[in-house]
Amino acid sequence: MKSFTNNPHALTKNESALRTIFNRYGAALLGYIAGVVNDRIKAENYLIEIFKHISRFADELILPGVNTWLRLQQVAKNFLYKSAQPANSVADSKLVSPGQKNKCLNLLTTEQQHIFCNIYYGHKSVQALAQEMQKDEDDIRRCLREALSVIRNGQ
Amino acid sequence: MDNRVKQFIESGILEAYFTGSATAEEEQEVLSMKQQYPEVQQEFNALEQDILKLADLTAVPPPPGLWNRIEADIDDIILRTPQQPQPYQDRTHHYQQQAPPQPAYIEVDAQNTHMRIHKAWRWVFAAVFILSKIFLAAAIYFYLENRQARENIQELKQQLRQAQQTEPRS
Repeated sequence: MKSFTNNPHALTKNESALRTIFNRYGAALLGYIAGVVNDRIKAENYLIEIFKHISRFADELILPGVNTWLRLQQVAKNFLYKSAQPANSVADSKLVSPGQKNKCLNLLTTEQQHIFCNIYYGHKSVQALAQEMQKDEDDIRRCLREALSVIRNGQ
Repeated sequence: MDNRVKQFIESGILEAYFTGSATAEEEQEVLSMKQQYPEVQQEFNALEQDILKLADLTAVPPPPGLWNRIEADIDDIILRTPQQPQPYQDRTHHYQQQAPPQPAYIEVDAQNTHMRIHKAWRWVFAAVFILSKIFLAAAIYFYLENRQARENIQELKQQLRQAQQTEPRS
Protein backbone atom coordinates (compact mmCIF):
# COMPACT_ATOMS: atom_id res chain seq x y z
CA MET A 1 0.00 0.00 0.00
CA LYS A 2 1.40 3.31 -0.96
CA SER A 3 -0.39 6.32 0.38
CA PHE A 4 -3.42 7.48 2.34
CA THR A 5 -2.07 10.82 3.30
CA ASN A 6 1.19 12.65 3.05
CA ASN A 7 1.60 12.61 6.81
CA PRO A 8 4.00 9.67 7.31
CA HIS A 9 2.85 8.87 10.88
CA ALA A 10 -0.83 8.84 9.93
CA LEU A 11 0.08 6.76 6.90
CA THR A 12 1.67 3.97 8.90
CA LYS A 13 -0.98 3.94 11.63
CA ASN A 14 -3.90 3.95 9.19
CA GLU A 15 -2.37 1.31 6.95
CA SER A 16 -1.88 -1.21 9.70
CA ALA A 17 -5.17 -0.31 11.39
CA LEU A 18 -7.08 -0.81 8.17
CA ARG A 19 -5.42 -4.14 7.54
CA THR A 20 -6.20 -5.23 11.11
CA ILE A 21 -9.83 -4.21 10.71
CA PHE A 22 -10.08 -6.02 7.38
CA ASN A 23 -8.55 -9.22 8.77
CA ARG A 24 -10.76 -9.27 11.86
CA TYR A 25 -14.03 -7.76 10.62
CA GLY A 26 -13.89 -7.94 6.81
CA ALA A 27 -15.90 -11.16 6.59
CA ALA A 28 -18.37 -10.05 9.27
CA LEU A 29 -18.90 -6.74 7.53
CA LEU A 30 -19.32 -8.38 4.13
CA GLY A 31 -21.87 -10.76 5.67
CA TYR A 32 -23.70 -7.85 7.23
CA ILE A 33 -23.76 -5.83 4.00
CA ALA A 34 -24.83 -8.90 2.00
CA GLY A 35 -27.64 -9.30 4.53
CA VAL A 36 -28.77 -5.74 3.85
CA VAL A 37 -28.50 -5.60 0.07
CA ASN A 38 -29.10 -9.29 -0.71
CA ASP A 39 -26.55 -9.18 -3.52
CA ARG A 40 -23.04 -10.56 -3.15
CA ILE A 41 -21.40 -8.48 -5.90
CA LYS A 42 -23.02 -5.26 -4.71
CA ALA A 43 -22.01 -6.14 -1.16
CA GLU A 44 -18.36 -6.53 -2.20
CA ASN A 45 -18.42 -3.18 -3.97
CA TYR A 46 -19.99 -1.53 -0.94
CA LEU A 47 -17.35 -3.13 1.28
CA ILE A 48 -14.60 -1.59 -0.86
CA GLU A 49 -16.27 1.81 -0.68
CA ILE A 50 -16.69 1.54 3.09
CA PHE A 51 -13.04 0.59 3.57
CA LYS A 52 -12.03 3.50 1.35
CA HIS A 53 -14.14 5.74 3.55
CA ILE A 54 -12.75 4.48 6.86
CA SER A 55 -9.16 4.52 5.61
CA ARG A 56 -8.95 8.15 6.78
CA PHE A 57 -9.70 7.36 10.40
CA ALA A 58 -9.03 3.63 10.68
CA ASP A 59 -6.64 4.07 13.61
CA GLU A 60 -9.45 5.68 15.65
CA LEU A 61 -11.59 2.57 15.23
CA ILE A 62 -9.17 0.30 17.03
CA LEU A 63 -8.38 2.54 19.98
CA PRO A 64 -8.75 0.90 23.40
CA GLY A 65 -12.29 1.23 24.71
CA VAL A 66 -13.80 1.64 21.25
CA ASN A 67 -16.24 -1.03 20.15
CA THR A 68 -14.82 -1.51 16.68
CA TRP A 69 -17.60 -3.70 15.38
CA LEU A 70 -20.32 -1.30 16.58
CA ARG A 71 -18.54 1.66 14.98
CA LEU A 72 -18.05 -0.26 11.74
CA GLN A 73 -21.68 -1.22 11.70
CA GLN A 74 -22.72 2.39 12.24
CA VAL A 75 -20.48 3.53 9.40
CA ALA A 76 -21.82 0.77 7.15
CA LYS A 77 -25.44 1.56 8.02
CA ASN A 78 -25.01 5.26 7.33
CA PHE A 79 -23.09 4.55 4.16
CA LEU A 80 -25.58 2.02 2.83
CA TYR A 81 -28.55 4.14 3.78
CA LYS A 82 -27.11 7.18 1.99
CA SER A 83 -25.83 5.25 -1.03
CA ALA A 84 -28.85 3.10 -1.58
CA GLN A 85 -31.44 5.83 -1.23
CA PRO A 86 -33.65 6.81 -2.85
CA ALA A 87 -33.27 4.62 -5.96
CA ASN A 88 -32.83 1.37 -4.08
CA SER A 89 -34.03 1.83 -0.54
CA VAL A 90 -32.23 -0.38 1.96
CA ALA A 91 -35.25 -0.07 4.18
CA ASP A 92 -37.34 -1.68 1.48
CA SER A 93 -39.12 -4.69 2.88
CA LYS A 94 -37.80 -6.84 0.03
CA LEU A 95 -34.23 -6.10 0.99
CA VAL A 96 -34.69 -6.91 4.64
CA SER A 97 -36.86 -9.93 4.14
CA PRO A 98 -36.37 -12.26 7.08
CA GLY A 99 -35.51 -15.90 6.89
CA GLN A 100 -32.89 -15.57 4.17
CA LYS A 101 -30.01 -14.26 6.19
CA ASN A 102 -28.93 -17.16 8.28
CA LYS A 103 -29.95 -20.03 10.45
CA CYS A 104 -30.16 -17.77 13.52
CA LEU A 105 -33.17 -15.95 12.13
CA ASN A 106 -35.08 -19.17 11.63
CA LEU A 107 -35.12 -19.57 15.40
CA LEU A 108 -37.19 -16.41 15.77
CA THR A 109 -40.93 -15.93 15.53
CA THR A 110 -42.27 -13.98 12.55
CA GLU A 111 -42.71 -10.86 14.66
CA GLN A 112 -39.24 -11.15 16.17
CA GLN A 113 -37.74 -11.66 12.72
CA HIS A 114 -39.58 -8.63 11.40
CA ILE A 115 -38.43 -6.40 14.24
CA PHE A 116 -34.87 -7.72 14.34
CA CYS A 117 -34.35 -7.52 10.58
CA ASN A 118 -35.81 -4.05 10.24
CA ILE A 119 -33.64 -2.74 13.05
CA TYR A 120 -30.44 -4.72 12.51
CA TYR A 121 -30.39 -4.80 8.71
CA GLY A 122 -32.95 -2.15 7.80
CA HIS A 123 -31.57 0.78 9.82
CA LYS A 124 -35.02 1.58 11.22
CA SER A 125 -35.40 3.31 14.56
CA VAL A 126 -37.50 1.79 17.33
CA GLN A 127 -39.81 4.78 17.07
CA ALA A 128 -40.34 4.40 13.29
CA LEU A 129 -40.93 0.68 13.61
CA ALA A 130 -43.35 1.18 16.50
CA GLN A 131 -45.36 3.61 14.40
CA GLU A 132 -45.28 1.30 11.41
CA MET A 133 -46.41 -1.70 13.45
CA GLN A 134 -48.79 0.38 15.58
CA LYS A 135 -47.14 -0.84 18.75
CA ASP A 136 -45.63 0.72 21.82
CA GLU A 137 -41.90 1.50 21.63
CA ASP A 138 -41.30 -0.47 24.83
CA ASP A 139 -42.90 -3.53 23.23
CA ILE A 140 -40.58 -3.22 20.24
CA ARG A 141 -37.52 -3.00 22.51
CA ARG A 142 -38.69 -5.96 24.57
CA CYS A 143 -39.29 -7.99 21.43
CA LEU A 144 -35.81 -7.07 20.19
CA ARG A 145 -34.38 -8.19 23.53
CA GLU A 146 -36.23 -11.50 23.25
CA ALA A 147 -34.97 -11.96 19.70
CA LEU A 148 -31.35 -11.45 20.73
CA SER A 149 -31.86 -13.75 23.70
CA VAL A 150 -33.19 -16.48 21.40
CA ILE A 151 -30.24 -16.02 19.03
CA ARG A 152 -27.83 -16.12 21.99
CA ASN A 153 -29.32 -19.32 23.41
CA GLY A 154 -29.80 -20.89 19.99
CA GLN A 155 -26.10 -20.63 19.20
CA MET B 1 -30.51 -6.27 42.05
CA ASP B 2 -31.90 -2.75 42.22
CA ASN B 3 -35.41 -2.52 40.72
CA ARG B 4 -34.38 0.38 38.54
CA VAL B 5 -31.42 -1.53 37.18
CA LYS B 6 -33.54 -4.61 36.56
CA GLN B 7 -36.13 -2.55 34.71
CA PHE B 8 -33.43 -0.85 32.70
CA ILE B 9 -31.85 -4.14 31.64
CA GLU B 10 -35.19 -5.72 30.79
CA SER B 11 -36.42 -2.68 28.87
CA GLY B 12 -34.34 -3.65 25.83
CA ILE B 13 -32.49 -0.32 25.64
CA LEU B 14 -29.15 -2.12 25.71
CA GLU B 15 -30.22 -4.25 22.75
CA ALA B 16 -31.40 -1.13 20.93
CA TYR B 17 -27.97 0.41 21.62
CA PHE B 18 -26.13 -2.54 20.15
CA THR B 19 -28.34 -2.76 17.08
CA GLY B 20 -27.90 0.95 16.41
CA SER B 21 -31.54 1.86 16.94
CA ALA B 22 -31.21 3.78 20.19
CA THR B 23 -31.74 7.54 20.23
CA ALA B 24 -28.95 9.89 21.32
CA GLU B 25 -30.58 10.27 24.78
CA GLU B 26 -30.88 6.51 25.15
CA GLU B 27 -27.24 6.08 24.17
CA GLN B 28 -26.21 8.56 26.84
CA GLU B 29 -28.40 6.78 29.37
CA VAL B 30 -26.80 3.43 28.51
CA LEU B 31 -23.28 4.82 28.92
CA SER B 32 -24.19 6.53 32.17
CA MET B 33 -25.92 3.46 33.64
CA LYS B 34 -22.99 1.30 32.59
CA GLN B 35 -20.64 3.51 34.57
CA GLN B 36 -22.86 3.51 37.64
CA TYR B 37 -24.03 -0.09 37.90
CA PRO B 38 -21.82 -3.19 37.57
CA GLU B 39 -24.88 -5.30 36.62
CA VAL B 40 -25.49 -3.05 33.62
CA GLN B 41 -21.79 -3.19 32.76
CA GLN B 42 -21.95 -6.98 32.92
CA GLU B 43 -25.02 -7.14 30.68
CA PHE B 44 -23.39 -4.61 28.33
CA ASN B 45 -20.27 -6.76 27.99
CA ALA B 46 -22.31 -9.91 27.41
CA LEU B 47 -24.35 -8.22 24.69
CA GLU B 48 -21.20 -6.86 23.09
CA GLN B 49 -19.93 -10.43 22.78
CA ASP B 50 -23.31 -11.68 21.51
CA ILE B 51 -23.44 -9.08 18.74
CA LEU B 52 -19.90 -9.96 17.73
CA LYS B 53 -20.78 -13.67 17.72
CA LEU B 54 -23.83 -12.92 15.58
CA ALA B 55 -21.64 -10.96 13.17
CA ASP B 56 -19.20 -13.87 12.96
CA LEU B 57 -22.03 -16.34 12.40
CA THR B 58 -23.38 -14.34 9.47
CA ALA B 59 -19.88 -13.61 8.10
CA VAL B 60 -19.17 -14.15 4.42
CA PRO B 61 -15.47 -14.70 3.63
CA PRO B 62 -14.30 -12.05 1.18
CA PRO B 63 -13.08 -13.46 -2.15
CA PRO B 64 -9.32 -13.61 -2.60
CA GLY B 65 -8.07 -10.38 -4.08
CA LEU B 66 -10.66 -8.16 -2.42
CA TRP B 67 -8.02 -6.65 -0.17
CA ASN B 68 -5.90 -5.88 -3.23
CA ARG B 69 -8.87 -4.08 -4.79
CA ILE B 70 -9.33 -2.03 -1.62
CA GLU B 71 -5.61 -1.33 -1.52
CA ALA B 72 -5.55 -0.27 -5.16
CA ASP B 73 -8.53 2.04 -4.68
CA ILE B 74 -7.05 3.59 -1.56
CA ASP B 75 -3.72 4.15 -3.32
CA ASP B 76 -5.53 6.55 -5.62
CA ILE B 77 -6.56 8.73 -2.70
CA ILE B 78 -3.78 11.11 -1.83
CA LEU B 79 -4.81 13.56 0.80
CA ARG B 80 -2.94 16.79 1.02
CA THR B 81 -2.32 18.66 4.28
CA PRO B 82 -4.53 21.73 4.44
CA GLN B 83 -2.56 24.82 3.47
CA GLN B 84 -2.97 28.01 5.41
CA PRO B 85 -3.17 31.22 3.35
CA GLN B 86 0.12 33.09 3.50
CA PRO B 87 0.33 36.87 3.76
CA TYR B 88 1.18 38.53 0.43
CA GLN B 89 4.86 39.07 -0.25
CA ASP B 90 6.32 40.76 -3.27
CA ARG B 91 8.66 38.14 -4.68
CA THR B 92 9.24 39.61 -8.11
CA HIS B 93 12.83 40.53 -7.22
CA HIS B 94 13.65 37.14 -5.83
CA TYR B 95 12.18 34.78 -8.35
CA GLN B 96 15.42 34.42 -10.28
CA GLN B 97 17.27 33.33 -7.16
CA GLN B 98 14.74 30.72 -6.23
CA ALA B 99 15.37 27.05 -6.69
CA PRO B 100 14.26 25.50 -9.99
CA PRO B 101 10.57 24.49 -10.05
CA GLN B 102 9.77 21.09 -8.58
CA PRO B 103 8.21 18.44 -10.81
CA ALA B 104 4.42 18.30 -10.69
CA TYR B 105 4.46 14.91 -8.98
CA ILE B 106 4.17 14.11 -5.31
CA GLU B 107 7.11 12.18 -3.99
CA VAL B 108 5.83 9.24 -2.02
CA ASP B 109 8.33 7.32 0.02
CA ALA B 110 6.92 3.83 0.08
CA GLN B 111 7.55 0.40 -1.27
CA ASN B 112 5.42 -0.50 -4.23
CA THR B 113 5.65 -3.04 -7.00
CA HIS B 114 3.77 -0.78 -9.45
CA MET B 115 4.94 2.24 -11.36
CA ARG B 116 3.11 5.17 -12.86
CA ILE B 117 3.86 6.63 -16.25
CA HIS B 118 2.50 9.51 -18.28
CA LYS B 119 -0.65 8.84 -20.30
CA ALA B 120 1.13 9.89 -23.53
CA TRP B 121 3.03 6.62 -23.39
CA ARG B 122 -0.11 4.68 -24.26
CA TRP B 123 0.23 5.85 -27.92
CA VAL B 124 3.82 4.61 -27.95
CA PHE B 125 2.71 1.28 -26.54
CA ALA B 126 -0.11 1.09 -29.08
CA ALA B 127 2.35 1.82 -31.93
CA VAL B 128 4.77 -0.81 -30.63
CA PHE B 129 1.93 -3.30 -30.36
CA ILE B 130 0.73 -2.62 -33.95
CA LEU B 131 4.29 -2.76 -35.32
CA SER B 132 4.88 -6.06 -33.54
CA LYS B 133 1.77 -7.46 -35.22
CA ILE B 134 2.96 -6.22 -38.64
CA PHE B 135 6.39 -7.82 -38.11
CA LEU B 136 4.76 -11.04 -36.99
CA ALA B 137 2.54 -11.11 -40.10
CA ALA B 138 5.56 -10.34 -42.31
CA ALA B 139 7.61 -13.06 -40.65
CA ILE B 140 4.86 -15.61 -41.21
CA TYR B 141 4.47 -14.48 -44.84
CA PHE B 142 8.20 -14.75 -45.60
CA TYR B 143 8.46 -18.06 -43.80
CA LEU B 144 5.68 -19.49 -45.97
CA GLU B 145 7.25 -17.97 -49.12
CA ASN B 146 10.57 -19.49 -48.20
CA ARG B 147 9.05 -22.88 -47.59
CA GLN B 148 7.24 -22.73 -50.94
CA ALA B 149 10.48 -21.76 -52.73
CA ARG B 150 12.34 -24.66 -51.12
CA GLU B 151 9.66 -27.07 -52.20
CA ASN B 152 9.89 -25.70 -55.75
CA ILE B 153 13.68 -26.12 -55.76
CA GLN B 154 13.35 -29.69 -54.50
CA GLU B 155 10.80 -30.39 -57.22
CA LEU B 156 13.05 -28.90 -59.92
CA LYS B 157 16.05 -30.88 -58.66
CA GLN B 158 14.03 -34.04 -58.83
CA GLN B 159 12.86 -33.25 -62.35
CA LEU B 160 16.47 -32.54 -63.33
CA ARG B 161 17.64 -35.86 -61.91
CA GLN B 162 14.89 -37.69 -63.76
CA ALA B 163 15.83 -35.88 -66.97
CA GLN B 164 19.51 -36.80 -66.55
CA GLN B 165 18.61 -40.44 -65.96
CA THR B 166 16.40 -40.67 -69.08
CA GLU B 167 18.86 -38.81 -71.41
CA PRO B 168 21.67 -41.47 -71.63
CA ARG B 169 19.16 -44.17 -72.64
CA SER B 170 17.91 -42.06 -75.56
